[in-house]
This record gives sequence, structure tokens and C-alpha cells, in this order.
Amino acid sequence: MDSLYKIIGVALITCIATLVVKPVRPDFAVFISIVGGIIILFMLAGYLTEIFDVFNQIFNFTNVNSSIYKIIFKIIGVGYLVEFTASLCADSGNSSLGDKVLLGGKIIILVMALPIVTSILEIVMELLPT
Amino acid sequence: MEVEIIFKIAAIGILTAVVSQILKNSGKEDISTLATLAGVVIVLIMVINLIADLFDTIRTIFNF
Amino acid sequence: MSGISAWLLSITGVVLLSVLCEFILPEGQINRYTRVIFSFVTLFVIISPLPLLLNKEIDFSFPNYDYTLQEDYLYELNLNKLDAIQTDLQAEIEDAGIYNIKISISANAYSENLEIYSIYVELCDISFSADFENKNISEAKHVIEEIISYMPSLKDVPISYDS
Repeated sequence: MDSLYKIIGVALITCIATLVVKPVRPDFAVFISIVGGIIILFMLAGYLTEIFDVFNQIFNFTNVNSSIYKIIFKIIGVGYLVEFTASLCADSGNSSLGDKVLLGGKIIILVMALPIVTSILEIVMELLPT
Repeated sequence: MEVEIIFKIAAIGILTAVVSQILKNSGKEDISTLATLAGVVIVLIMVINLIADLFDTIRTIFNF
Repeated sequence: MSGISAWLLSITGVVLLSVLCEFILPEGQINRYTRVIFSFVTLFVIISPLPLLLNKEIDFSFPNYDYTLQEDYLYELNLNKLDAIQTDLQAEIEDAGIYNIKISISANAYSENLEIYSIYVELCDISFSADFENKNISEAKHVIEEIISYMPSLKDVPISYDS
């Protein structure tokens, strides 16, 4: 529960600070909101590690292919980073740049997932009578 | 660590605005622009350090 | 029967994980996309035992893109470590009162923990500070070897001199 209060506190302080600074220097308000977002993400990092440990256990328990597991992890990581960068760009006013970053992330995720698609096709091809 | 950075950035912002106003009123406008720019650069360095930390943490979590 | 139960278990695992991942990635546009990818993964896991049923071999090795990237990163990391060790050593020897010596450390920059092969010390331009006792080469070598033996990463590394 402590972390929840910390997160709420940081968010409120960020909002108040932005309100204070905006009439004086509007560009600093963007910096403050960016930094507030980063601090909240930092607080979540510990929880994320726990969740991924449990994921690890599930994977070892249900013997899925370990390469699939790595691909899924990388896809989640790329998703996070890309989404964070896109909202940062949108906050500072270049939402079109954020869209392009999203596009880059989607293409990279697709490239990482292509081997799975090819494997599916290979399996189907092996099943067909030649 | 966490909330102090927000206060620092807000303080630097208000400080640069005040300094810039004072310098403008006493006629030295170019120095005022330099002071504003310096404030922005300082805050930028702090923010970029923080972002680099964040990316490193994400990299370690996801074992890139 | 154990094969079928393993297969069912892996399907359960993948579906469970996809649902959980959708929880922790609740962010707009990427969410739709990762849903598509997870559906591909689930399809793959469901289909995977079929070639075993029909006694055909399928090779499930996915290309690993991380090796080259890690090598470059490792090289840079080790180079930085090596530079740091060299500057530290130089600074400590200068603190002890010996100036103008050059130290080169040869190491394997591609190994995971930087393996140091040997240290080469050039003593040709050596000069001493005012309060250094016994200003001769053998005393200098003695002091250098002592400093090197205090650094944990350089223990037991053969040292060679040029004189």
C-alpha cells in the first residue's frame, strides 16, 4: 500500500508543480511532467521484476519452448519502451513523431515474431501430402 | 531521490524566469537569453540522466 | 498419455501468460498488436505436437539475434574497464612519487570477465618526485609491483619491464 501512496503523491506533486511553473515558464512544465512519469515508472520496476519471476516459474513449469519465452519477453519490453517514448513525444507536442516511434516499435515486434509465423507454416506444409 | 528532482526542476524554472526578468529590466537582454538557455540545458541534463537510468532498468528487467 | 498432458499443460501456460501480459501492457495501440502476436504464439503451441504424431521431424530453432549485439557491447564494456584500470594504476603510481612511466595492459576484451594476460611497464623516461627515497630503477620496480598487487583485478598477472 505504501507504494500506492507514493505513486499518488508523486502524481499530485507533479500536477501542482506544473500548474505553478506553467505561467512563469511553460516549457519547464513539460520537463516536470516527463520527470514525474519516469519516477512513477521507476517505482513500478520492482513489482515488474516480481511479476516476471512468476512468469519464469510458469514457463518452466509448463515446458514451453524457451525461445518462445525469450521472444515474448522482448516483445513486452519493446512495447513498454515504445509506448513510453510515444507519450513523451505527445506531451512535448510532437505527436506525429510519437506515431512514427510506434510504427517503428510495431515493425520491430513483427520482425521478432516472424520466426513463429514461419514455423507455423512449416508445420502445416509438413502435414500436407506432397 | 524521487520527489526532489521535481522540486529542483521547478525551482530552477522559477529562478531562471526571475533572473531573466531582472536582466531584461536592467537592459542586458542578451545575457538574459543566455541565462534562460543555461537553465534549460541544466534541466535537460538532469532529465536525460533520469531517462538513461530508466532505460537501463528496463534493459536489466527484460534481459536485453 | 504424458505427451498429451504436457501438450495441454503448455497450452494452458501460454494462454495464461497471454492474459497476464494483456494486463500489464494496458497501453493503447501496442495492445492490439501484441494480442495478434500472442494469438500466433498460442496457435504455434497448439500445432506443435502434430509433426511428432505423424513421425516427421521439424526443427524449432529460432534464430538468435543477440549474439553479435552482445559481442560488441561486451567489447565496449571491457575496453572501458581496461581504460579505468589503466588510469587508476597510473594515478596511484604517480601518487607514490614515480612519474613518466607508461603502462600497457594486454587483455582479452571478448571474454565475459576481462581476462588480463600481462602488464608491460616502460621505464625509459622515469623520473622521481623530490621525496622519493632510493631513486633507482629496482626500487621503482618494487613500488610498482606492490601497487599492482594491491589491485584485486591485477593480482597474479605477469609483469614485464623494458629495461
